[in-house]
Amino acid sequence: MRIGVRLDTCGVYGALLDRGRVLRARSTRALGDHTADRLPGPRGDRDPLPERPHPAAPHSAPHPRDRASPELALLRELLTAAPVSAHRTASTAPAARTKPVTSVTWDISGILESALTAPHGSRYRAQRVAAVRVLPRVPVAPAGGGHHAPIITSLVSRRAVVAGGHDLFGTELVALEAESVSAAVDELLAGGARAVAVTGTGAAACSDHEVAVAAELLRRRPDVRVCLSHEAGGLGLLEREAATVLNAALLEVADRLISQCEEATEALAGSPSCWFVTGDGGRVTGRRLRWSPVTGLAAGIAAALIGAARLARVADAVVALADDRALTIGQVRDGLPHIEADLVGSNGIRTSVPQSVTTRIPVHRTSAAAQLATRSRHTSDVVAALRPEGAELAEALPRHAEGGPRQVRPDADITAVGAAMTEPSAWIDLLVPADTPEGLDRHQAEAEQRALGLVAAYGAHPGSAHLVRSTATAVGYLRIYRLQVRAGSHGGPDTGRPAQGGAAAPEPAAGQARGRSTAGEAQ
Amino acid sequence: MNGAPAPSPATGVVHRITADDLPAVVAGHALLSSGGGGIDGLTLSVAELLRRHGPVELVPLDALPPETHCAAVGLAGGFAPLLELPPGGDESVLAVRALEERTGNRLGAVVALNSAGPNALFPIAAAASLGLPLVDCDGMGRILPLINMTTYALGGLSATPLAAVSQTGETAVLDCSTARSDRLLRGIVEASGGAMLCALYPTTVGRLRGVAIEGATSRVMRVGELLTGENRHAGLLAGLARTVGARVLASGQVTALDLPTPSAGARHFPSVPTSIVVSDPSGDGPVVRLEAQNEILLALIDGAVTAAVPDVLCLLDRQRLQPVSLENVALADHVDVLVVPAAPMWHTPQGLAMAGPRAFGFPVRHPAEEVSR
Repeated sequence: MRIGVRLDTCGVYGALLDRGRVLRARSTRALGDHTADRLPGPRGDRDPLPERPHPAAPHSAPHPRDRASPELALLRELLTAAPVSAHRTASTAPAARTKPVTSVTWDISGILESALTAPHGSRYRAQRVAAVRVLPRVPVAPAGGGHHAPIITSLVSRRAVVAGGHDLFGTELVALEAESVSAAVDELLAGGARAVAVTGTGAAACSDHEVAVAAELLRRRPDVRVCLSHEAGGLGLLEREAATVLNAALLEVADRLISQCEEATEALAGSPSCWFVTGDGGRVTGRRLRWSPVTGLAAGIAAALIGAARLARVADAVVALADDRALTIGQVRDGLPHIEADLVGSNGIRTSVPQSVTTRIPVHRTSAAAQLATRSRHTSDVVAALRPEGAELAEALPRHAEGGPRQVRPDADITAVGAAMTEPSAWIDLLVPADTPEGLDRHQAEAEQRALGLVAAYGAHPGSAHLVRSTATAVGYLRIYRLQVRAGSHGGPDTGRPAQGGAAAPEPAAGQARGRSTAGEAQ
Repeated sequence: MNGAPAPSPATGVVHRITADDLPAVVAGHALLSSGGGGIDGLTLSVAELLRRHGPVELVPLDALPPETHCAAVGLAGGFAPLLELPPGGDESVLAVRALEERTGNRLGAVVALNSAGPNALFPIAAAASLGLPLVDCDGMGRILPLINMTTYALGGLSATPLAAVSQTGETAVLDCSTARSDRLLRGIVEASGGAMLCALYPTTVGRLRGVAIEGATSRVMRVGELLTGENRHAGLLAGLARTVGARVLASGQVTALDLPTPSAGARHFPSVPTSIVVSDPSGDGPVVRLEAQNEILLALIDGAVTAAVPDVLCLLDRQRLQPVSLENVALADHVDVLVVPAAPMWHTPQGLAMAGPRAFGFPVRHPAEEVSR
């Protein structure tokens, strides 16, 4: 069994899944609020919080944060619905045993997003950072650089430009000026910088100058946190800088959130693994997200797209997610959200970090069907409520039997459901020079092997890593290609999906699930 | 240096371009350049120049005295280097001053090399920085790969002398034939980081008449207003038909993509070919094959040439109602294939010889040639 949890500023929303079916959902209104506002249980009931744990529920070790942790309380409540299976003891007498929860996957994107614009005094607020650009020369308009995204501008407390940089072939355009670096580091550290984002021209092709600036920063102040743009990868100075600034700004918030989630997960019996959803629809460990929290942004929509498509039992679909006033439309391909780099996110920031390709269209109930029809054809469509307030809009769309989309009503938070269904993934975005098809093939094969290796290293089920996408796009005018490789993985037997080469676990038809599960019903 | 004739009073001003107009220009450029992508760094810089120097007067050709000296401004090079090396903001001034130094003529107006892609913005930046009017015309009406593939060259104007400035501030001035200009410039561009801002085709307003595509910049702005303001699919298509004569060749899903690989033919141009197939996955309906070299150049429906360069071919994402760039097109994308007719002078025998499908190595005729046979 798996648990998915969406952690938001408004509350905690969890779903317990077994082999892809939703067994139970629970939510609390707000962080720190233990008052349960539960979604219907397996039979649509609204039973109060049990005074005592379910007899079959695993006994968790007492935890010092129990009283203050809504996350752990929610996890334990979910487990009260854990199915019980018979097994034999040493004396061969049958005994009841709860199926183990193998993983808890958290979506913390809502809090990370709100932290970027949170006011002073907020519990979760991104820290302001210093930004260093390595450029061939100082820009005159805007003077000294600048950024078009207001959030990035507000997060950057100080800017510095140092002379240096490479072209897309990795050839040095201007030598890194040691004096310029030293002066910039002096200024930033004197200004109290605790986190610094360093972005070098051409760093995706050669990171030497970024690394040299980081070395100087750390030599002076070993405790300063430094994020380098080549680690985010991708093309575009401003896009990489945005990713790097966001990453540096979110380091502290992410660290606290991840610890909170990990503590709650560790307190569960059976030592389930703890994961976090990423914006590409994959999942990573807390250790990795601590290092790269920017990848946790936009994870909620990616998870919701996955959840809706999987509950509708379609691998390829145009998915519409309804809230109270808009449809967010995205595509799921082979069970994963269609993603791209360099998109402008819901926060108005274009970054090099991949995220779901979505369109948000404000609609009224009366026009929802027409809006969806103009944007979609050739594939089956799926509609789900992204939030409870979106149920009315989703219901306004025609039924599948009437030629409309499949409607998914899981009686659970669709993002939490999707979070539980995510698997480790990897994304590589780099530029390579290539004069011949053979040279390009070699670079691409190397990138693919690296992506597959990363997925395995990130904890994919053994043998399940596979390529989702591998493209080589010519960079106009130059003999350079942009390689974008996405690798994913299939889960183990607890997911209802097969490992690569394995057989799919049988899934009951929609009608069979009714009455004993809150799994979505395709209509 | 010769003094510049004073432009006539701004009686014929089409529009005063401010920073508020840039979103429309940015949106519009994408449709006329097979997609494009984020040019936030360039946009940020141009917006700052407009705020610093004030609005740019967009004027028709006949609003200026014919003896007014002018030159085209545009970027030569790749799109990716522009993303990696955003302009510092003074490149256009450096390029124009270097050209003026070489020709001895002070400019009285700026024109666009091509009002599509990033080059829809660079002439605005130049006009703002130099305090000059921008003439509402260009020499391509789209993006073409060589700096000598212009109606300016078609009409006999020389692309040189030209001045080119890189983001590192390095400047080169070329004196050569128009036919040799792109080849020579390309070597310098590659060594300088992949893109250089150029001031070229030094001429007078009088000589531009009859060889420039008039109304090019205002056309980009009208297209951009549609793309940023219309959220109904049918409304957008109708608006594009009304504004630029765009028509839908076909709709469907991207069902095949050939990875771009180097080929002997493609080495004639600083670009690499790509093939895209758009069809209905259910098997019904026509199969559209698109051939591209940085730009979509040819559309074949069930094997027959239906549209070709120099007409603009582009993909419109049916869900996002935005152009799809060749860098971002992906399998299963739901798209409309649009064709926007080129300016009439491109459909002459000379125009098609310079920028028609055979100029790109495709052994086919443009549909306009088939009609005239």
